Amino acid sequence: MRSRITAAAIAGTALAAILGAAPAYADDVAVLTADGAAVAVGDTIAAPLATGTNAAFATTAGGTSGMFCAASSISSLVNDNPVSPGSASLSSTLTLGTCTVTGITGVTGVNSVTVNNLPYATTTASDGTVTVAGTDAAPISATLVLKTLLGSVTCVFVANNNAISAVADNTDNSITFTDQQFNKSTGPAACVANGFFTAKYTPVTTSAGSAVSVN
Amino acid sequence: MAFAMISMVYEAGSQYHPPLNSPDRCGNGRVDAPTIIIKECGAMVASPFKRALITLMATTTALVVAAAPAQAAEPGGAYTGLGDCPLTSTVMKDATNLQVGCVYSVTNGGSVTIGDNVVPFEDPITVQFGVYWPASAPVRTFPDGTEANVYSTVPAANGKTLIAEPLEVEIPGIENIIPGVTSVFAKVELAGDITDFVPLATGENTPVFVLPVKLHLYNAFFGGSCYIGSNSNPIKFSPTTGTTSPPAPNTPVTGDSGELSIVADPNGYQTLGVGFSGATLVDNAYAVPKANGCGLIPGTLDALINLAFGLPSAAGKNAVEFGDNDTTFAISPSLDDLQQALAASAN
Repeated sequence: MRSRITAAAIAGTALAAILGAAPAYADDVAVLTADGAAVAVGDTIAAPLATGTNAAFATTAGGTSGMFCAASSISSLVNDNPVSPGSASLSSTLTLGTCTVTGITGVTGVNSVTVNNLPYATTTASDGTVTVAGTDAAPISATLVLKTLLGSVTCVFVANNNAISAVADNTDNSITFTDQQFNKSTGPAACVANGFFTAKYTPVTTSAGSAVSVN
Repeated sequence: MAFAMISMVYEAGSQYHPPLNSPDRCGNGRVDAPTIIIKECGAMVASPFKRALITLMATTTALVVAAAPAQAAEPGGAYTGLGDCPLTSTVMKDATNLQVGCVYSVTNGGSVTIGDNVVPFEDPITVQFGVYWPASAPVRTFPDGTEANVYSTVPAANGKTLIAEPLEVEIPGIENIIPGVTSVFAKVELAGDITDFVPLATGENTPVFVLPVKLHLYNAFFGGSCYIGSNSNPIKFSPTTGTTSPPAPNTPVTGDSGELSIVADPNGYQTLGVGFSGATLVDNAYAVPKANGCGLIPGTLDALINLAFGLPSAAGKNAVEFGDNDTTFAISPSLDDLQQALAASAN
């Protein structure tokens, strides 16, 4: 009998130690929180581009040639925000503006950039992974209308596998997309075959202006 | 055979030049380029009259040579092949043009099909011309929204716009024993200006240009003016690198844009070098008109040729493929800039 009590005490101590070392998935904490409280379903969280950065649509992964937009933002309507660990569901809208082209011979400017089929279904997981997915009927795509010497070229790009992903970071309440591949869908041969989307958005805040964390 | 002469690149009416690297008419060495021959064959002669004549000819020749414009060096780099661009044409010089340029395109394969007759392109076909985008700034809008400049064209000088070797065409139902007698040689000739040149159409389901041609038929019994098509009723090729939309019984076929390269001028000019390599352009929606002027008494064999080749051949029964096509295209906002870019590339 004594040995059973000892064994139970040791097991309880070990469990307490393990729980103490785990990430702070405290009871009843939501995946998305702001000021210590769950972000309400129906609220819209949003973020501008990180100060001093551009949203890039480069012709190669990590490349310096392509289209660069000085104005961009992301906003997401919270559809579901379960208890952590789990995945929050959102509907996201992305905007791009003030774009210029660098390093593409023959392209002299940008007439317009349109992100199509908005909003996109988005999930944010407790581990910080943000996944944006399109559907067959409404894929993730962007239409670039570029000025060239030979005319105005309309190029439509679709996300590779119809999905792009980002990483959420609580240290600066950011979301970062890195080299997310898009493939040319329609347009003349003058359109590049691929575009790689990179952008960092921070701080992500609620409609009340509170910084959003991922748990 | 007489048909061998037709294979020269010079069109009817141009002067004959000896083939390069062939013995000259004295059998003394080789001709490296068209030239004026003033020396006599064999031993030197010394009659006063002949000496005076030779002196006069030499003086005249020297004057002619001195007065002739210096031959510009061939453009190089991204502009290779553009040496016959009609840069001195009046329309190219029009200061109201928004852009001017040059095109040099070589097809190394493919075929033309008229009814049931498939004739492969066994020798290169060269098409070259100047282009300008006039002040009216015409554009063509594609279904995807692209608004592409539509360029007017200027023929290359000296009839060099279209350079093609004669094609041997077998006569249906006749065994080909004596080429030119039991077969027909057909030379593709221009039947008007190339129109609607739209370089941005590359990769789209729309023609890159319209090429009006007629087929000059040669056979021992066809006479010298036997054609399929004419300047007033040409065969109009409208080739695309995209997918065609032909009438039945033909079905859509798809070309290939090949590899596209766009390079800035290496010497800092505004001229842009655009290259397409390994492209395939297709058209299977054109009609082929009747033969005309055939026979030793022109017209007497038209009906026979129409019967043999199934002419006229309605749209949807014919096809052309310009395969393994390499195109060089230079375009600039100004003629002066274009000329300087081409000249600098030759250095």
